[in-house]
Amino acid sequence: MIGTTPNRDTPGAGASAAAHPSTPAVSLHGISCAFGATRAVDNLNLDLSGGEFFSLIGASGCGKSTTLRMIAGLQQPTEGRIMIAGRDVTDLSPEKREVNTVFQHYALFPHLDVFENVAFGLRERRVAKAELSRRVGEMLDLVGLADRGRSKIRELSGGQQQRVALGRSLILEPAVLLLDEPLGALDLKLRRQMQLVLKQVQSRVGITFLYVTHDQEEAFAMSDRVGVMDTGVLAQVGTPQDIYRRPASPFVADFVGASNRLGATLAGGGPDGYELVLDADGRRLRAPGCPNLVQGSRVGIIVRPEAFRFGGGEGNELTGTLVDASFLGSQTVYTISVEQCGDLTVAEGRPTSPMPAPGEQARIAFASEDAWVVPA
Amino acid sequence: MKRPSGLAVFTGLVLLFLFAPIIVVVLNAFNSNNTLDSFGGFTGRWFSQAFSDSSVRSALWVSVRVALVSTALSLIIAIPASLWARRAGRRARALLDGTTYMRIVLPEIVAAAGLFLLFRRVNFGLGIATIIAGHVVFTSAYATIIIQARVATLSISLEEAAADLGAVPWRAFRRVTLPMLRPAVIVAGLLVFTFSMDDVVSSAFLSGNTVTLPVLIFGLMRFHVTPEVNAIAAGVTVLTLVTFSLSAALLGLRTGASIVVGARPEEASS
Repeated sequence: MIGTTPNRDTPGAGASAAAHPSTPAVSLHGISCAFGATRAVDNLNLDLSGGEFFSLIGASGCGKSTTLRMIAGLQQPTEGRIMIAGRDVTDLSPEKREVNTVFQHYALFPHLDVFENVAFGLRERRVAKAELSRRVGEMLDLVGLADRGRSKIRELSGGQQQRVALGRSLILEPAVLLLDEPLGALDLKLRRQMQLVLKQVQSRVGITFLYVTHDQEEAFAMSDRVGVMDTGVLAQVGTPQDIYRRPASPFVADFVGASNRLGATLAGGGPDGYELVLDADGRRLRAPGCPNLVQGSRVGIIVRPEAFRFGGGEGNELTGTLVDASFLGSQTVYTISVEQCGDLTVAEGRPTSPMPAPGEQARIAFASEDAWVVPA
Repeated sequence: MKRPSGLAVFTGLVLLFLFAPIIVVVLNAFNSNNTLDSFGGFTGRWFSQAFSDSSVRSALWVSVRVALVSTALSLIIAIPASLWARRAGRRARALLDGTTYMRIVLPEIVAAAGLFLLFRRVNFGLGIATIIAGHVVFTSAYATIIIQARVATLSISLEEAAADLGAVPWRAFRRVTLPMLRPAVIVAGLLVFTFSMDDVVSSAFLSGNTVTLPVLIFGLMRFHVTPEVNAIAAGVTVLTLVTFSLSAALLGLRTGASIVVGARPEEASS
């Protein structure tokens, strides 16, 4: 699909944002957006560098789409400034901003064919006919629709419509491309396929992508960096690995995949290794965690399901009763009820020893370096 | 042979009742017996006679001009009103809907008499302009309802997408909103044109010395029904039927509207 014409000049290369790598492609300075009494977005600060693939994730209604709409100019922030490629665009209307959007339901023009949808923005810029057909042709190649130029929008499949929406926006070589849950309407298999397409297209054109989704796996799969939003506030920004392994709060830990939280009290040490007293049995252990945790405070120890090993041995051992085993194909997920710790989730890819049956005793253990301490 | 059901018989009678007068008019338009007592054979004489009658021709011309201008004005009022209604607050919206339905529900004779008194009061001479005013009062309301129904189905994100791709509001309207509304605009236009073409009440009140075709027919019939009147009426019926079936066909094609809408690239490139 992509890469049918690998030697062709890449449309979109040399977008203005790439010209000054030091200037952020997008810079949000304390933007807020209030609808009546509710603050959909609250004092959000964020810099995106040129060519970056950044995802904003969060539950529905957390303000991620509103943030996108403010950058696009479709929603006016109540406070703060928005800079695009070094220029303050806060008071500019959408058509004057160097951003383009791939809308959630594509918002393709049904009265125009594929070619004309992709050419829409170029016609607004009064691009000469020859150049226009050349650039549209290249873009259709890039998104794998070279032979569908004269098709009606309604004749296309969901994935094809998705690619028209992508091409229509990319052809204008924006400083940043905004994508608002663009894969939300597609089935799982097509989603995976389109994720690959998006990632490939992004790395070829070198345009900054700001991607909004509620699906953390999708965000992790594609992004250089991820921002987690919680009720209008940016809870954490970091690489997918950072966010997953070193969540800044219990909310982030919960949102980006199943996690177990063991209650503990912080007895001393620093971020590289806190001294902890486990609530369950008073045992002491060391684990790394968020900076700035106060000695004596209540904390949570995050242990990812795949960090547990059956059979005990090295590390911190816990004993409980196996309640449930769910086979998911690539892994089996066990629920183990541990006294005073509640139900823990344990994922096992390829068990090496015989597994306990439901109702039986199970011993599990985790290594201290696989744990992460967050505020309670 | 199967006996027709009671419902079929009843339906047949209703249809006969509705269409018999029209059939009689059309038949008499071809009746060579000028007293119309009986059918004296086919002739096209009355059509040529009616059309060569200068008063008929000038009345037809007045009607066409009135209908064209009324249609244009109705659409110019209805399209912005429909688009505005979408963004308006609840109370402003209620006000617009209220005035729209009011203009349809209000008996035409009340509006016509009111306008007549108003124009007399301000000493505005009656003529084509006042007839158009009388028509637009209600035709624009019908146009608004039809176009509003279409606007309600449009996603605002299409206009947002146009703006996002660099179209200033006017261009977004030209290139996206208007083409999307096109089927409704055509249907509303045809309907309004027909309403204006065969309106008698408003035209009679507001015409002064200017005579529209329906007013002329009405006047002719007060003395006696000549075959010529039948010929004019048959002509108007055909005209009305054509415009109405056109609009019905277009209404039916609303979902597959691209047949009407499908803009060619050359067209869109302007």
